[in-house]
Amino acid sequence: MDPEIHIIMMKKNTMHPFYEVYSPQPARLKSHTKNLATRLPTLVGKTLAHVWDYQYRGNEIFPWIEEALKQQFPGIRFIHWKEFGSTHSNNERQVIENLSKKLKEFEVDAVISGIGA
Amino acid sequence: MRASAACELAGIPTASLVSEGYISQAKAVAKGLGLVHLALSLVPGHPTAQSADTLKNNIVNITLRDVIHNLTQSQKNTALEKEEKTDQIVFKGGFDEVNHYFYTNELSDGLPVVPPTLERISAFLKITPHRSDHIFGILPPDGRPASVWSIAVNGVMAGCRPEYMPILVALVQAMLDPHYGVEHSGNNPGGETLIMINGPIAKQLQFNHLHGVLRDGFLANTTVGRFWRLYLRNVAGFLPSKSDRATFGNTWKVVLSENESVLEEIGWEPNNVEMGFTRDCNTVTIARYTGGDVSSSVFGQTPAEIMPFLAASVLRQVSWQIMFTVGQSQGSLRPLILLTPAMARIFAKAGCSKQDVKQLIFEHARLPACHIERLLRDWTRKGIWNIADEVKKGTLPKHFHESDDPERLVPIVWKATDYMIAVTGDELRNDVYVFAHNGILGYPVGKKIELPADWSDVIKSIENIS
Repeated sequence: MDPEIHIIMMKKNTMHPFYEVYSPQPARLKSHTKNLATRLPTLVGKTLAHVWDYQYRGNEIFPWIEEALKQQFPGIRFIHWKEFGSTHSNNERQVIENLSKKLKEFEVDAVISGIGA
Repeated sequence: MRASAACELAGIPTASLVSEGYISQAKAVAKGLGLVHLALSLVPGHPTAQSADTLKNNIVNITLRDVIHNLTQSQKNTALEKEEKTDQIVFKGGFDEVNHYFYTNELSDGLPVVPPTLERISAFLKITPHRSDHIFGILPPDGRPASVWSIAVNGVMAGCRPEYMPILVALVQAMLDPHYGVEHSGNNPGGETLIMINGPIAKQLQFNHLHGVLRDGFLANTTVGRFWRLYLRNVAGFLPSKSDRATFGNTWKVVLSENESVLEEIGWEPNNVEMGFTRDCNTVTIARYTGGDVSSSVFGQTPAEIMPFLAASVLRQVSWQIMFTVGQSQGSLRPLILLTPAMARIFAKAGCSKQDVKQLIFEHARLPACHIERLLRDWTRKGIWNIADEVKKGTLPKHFHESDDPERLVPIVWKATDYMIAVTGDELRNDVYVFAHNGILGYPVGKKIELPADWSDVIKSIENIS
């Protein structure tokens, strides 16, 4: 059946009312989209920071990553997660707000962040 | 993910370590943060379910490759797809077709919804002083604007009456409050929000505060509770198996209303006063709970007789949640205890205020320190925990380490006022109910319900109908 005819018939049918409905989901605002940072050409000689939510064995995982990267990239150095505080705690908003400033202080080139689980 | 987003926006590239089961949620969160292609580094399996050797092997052989790639290879910067405006009709059809449309587009909870037609939406919009395009804020994780229009549409769908609109607006304002932490609503413990309503509006709109106060079957309590979950789904963006990674989860809760007549009679302050408002102020209070349980037939005619059972009931609802007291988010545990009017009257008769009862619970509900350390250090391995060190650093109150005796009894909250008490339920039964609080993943937040100037006319029109 032609959809338009179907609609007209439905509108006339009082036993089965016809509805024109709106979405409960608002559209995202255009200004919401952001760009990622430019990646590094190499990790040689760079400063990396570990940023941790103090969960899911990050205290074991970060040293393994650090050790393996040091073997591959000469001159690479790391800033310990203790310098930033937990990114998942009652202070997390403050910790995240302060991240940019702290990363600049430590002259950090890239961040390894975790653990999402 | 939020930390990684902050770094990227500061111009510093990131690699986010994400376990296999969290990938879809991480992508959804990244999209909501406006960073569709935030670089994820896969951690196979779950970190806490692997031996050290297996985990190390996975990290060095799989995760590391992603980390190097994420930091050195250019990542896409795709803009989010253009979305249709929501003030346009999205579907036309009969009741069943409309419901099928919403369900198949993941816009309903599976129960039939009331079709949100312009006529119904407009009825809601009339009972708010705000313009329909007013935006209260952007809701994480989906990054959608919490508009007055969207509140009305979801209110209609939930089966609310138009006069509930001021409550729905206050709820969304509470949802946006950073102290509540709505962004955590999709985490694995799967806690669910309990809404408490206080003030004259509870009686005006016939919220139940008697038998079955936590049960569906009362229009106001049920539909406003359902609205909360629909709004979390449709605007905040929490979808099961996607951005909502609740391991088991809970169903949405009906709204809780206190018995304010009894509170007045015994001279106890209602919850709205405890949240910083006046007694005659209409408020909503929200907090998330992972569960709860009733203790039936609490025998006793004095506080001394009642306290052992009451304290044991409180302790039964605190296990891993102790991390919100002494762990990573210290001092944020706020257990909620429901007392029936009969129970509250026993305390009041003995001269106890609500605050006195909280103090009694604080003194009686205690656990051996070694049990708390075992819970956090050995059983859940949430990090590095040592109560003595935390007290020495000054990050925990001294009463958590008054001796080195591992069996010493310590409280389960920082201070007596961390307990919340509400008086509600069957007036004549001697039962209590204790909710297990979710700490910073749903910290209690109260908001005033702003009423339109013609509210008394609205109430009169309801009275005329009924």
